[in-house]
Amino acid sequence: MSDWEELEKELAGLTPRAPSKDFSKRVEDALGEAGSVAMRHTPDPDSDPARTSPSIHFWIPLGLAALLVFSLYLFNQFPSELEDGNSPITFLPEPSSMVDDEDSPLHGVTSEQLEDLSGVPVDGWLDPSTQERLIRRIDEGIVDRATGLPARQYRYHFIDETLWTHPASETRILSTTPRQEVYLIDLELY
Amino acid sequence: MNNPEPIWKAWFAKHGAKLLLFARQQARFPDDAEDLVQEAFVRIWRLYGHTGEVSPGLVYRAIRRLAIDWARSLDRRRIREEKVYLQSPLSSSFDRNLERDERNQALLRAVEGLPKEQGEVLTLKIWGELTFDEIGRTLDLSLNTVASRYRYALQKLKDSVPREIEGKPHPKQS
Repeated sequence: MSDWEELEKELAGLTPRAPSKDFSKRVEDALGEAGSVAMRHTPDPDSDPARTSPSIHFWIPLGLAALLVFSLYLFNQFPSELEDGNSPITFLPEPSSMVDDEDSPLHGVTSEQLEDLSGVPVDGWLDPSTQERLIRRIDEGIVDRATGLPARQYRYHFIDETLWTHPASETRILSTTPRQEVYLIDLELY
Repeated sequence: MNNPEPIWKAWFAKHGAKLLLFARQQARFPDDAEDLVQEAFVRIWRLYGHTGEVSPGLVYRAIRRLAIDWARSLDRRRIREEKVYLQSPLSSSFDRNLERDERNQALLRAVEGLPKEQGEVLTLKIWGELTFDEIGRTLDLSLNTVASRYRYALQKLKDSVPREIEGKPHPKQS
């Protein structure tokens, strides 16, 4: 063991004095209701640990292993959307991709053919008007950034509306698409 | 049947002493250490308490920031001036071990004699049990700076403690 390791061990052997009961009581009073939000269930002193079924020693590790495998599966399927960012507010866009669906009945159909088939004119449409409607905002609580700093996470639910108007045929087509945005707002530590 | 117990109590029993030690280093006056810990812990627990898991690094960091703010605050300075200020050695923050008391007292005097920036790194590493990375984030320092300050601190302790044991004064105390 090197001198430094010995010194580290020696220092670690010195135990800082525990907070006094008065101080702990002060902290408890200052915490108020926040102190009782998270509770841990400790074993009743009257309960007899020997009564625990031996089968539990088999099922608990098995259950934990199953949970771990399931978590790894979920992690691979759905990469975390809470990636770290340096800005106070981080916008996390939903992943999207355009795929050419070869099985679609419209695949390979020209605009003229489409006009004949649908009876909807191809030309003469006005520029589409778009509108974003906020449905609700959900405060999802405090989350950890990768840096270890806390941030409050808000999830916004929108409906994006697009209206196409064809004045000549008095045709209107309204498309609605649901969308979510997640915002992370950095919190001061105190 | 189970007895529900607030999680913060177990958390505080585990980390409270270390937080107080760090707060004592950060506070300009020892009397402020408990106030610092209380304020920082309550604020962080109100943010995170519902999860039942709070990283000690967050509380250390909050203590440090509060200490800086309080040092600037005129109000607190006025309150402090009204208090009877008692200088207490670092050893008063530790449990006594009579068997090795002389050696321990010398060690703690040497820790107290360290430059503040080295002392706080040493405290977070040894008693706070934080990694260098966590210390870097707590003190807003690079990993290399933290590691080198820690090495300097250990070297100074190693050099100075035998001198103290022999009854020679520490350079900073002379």
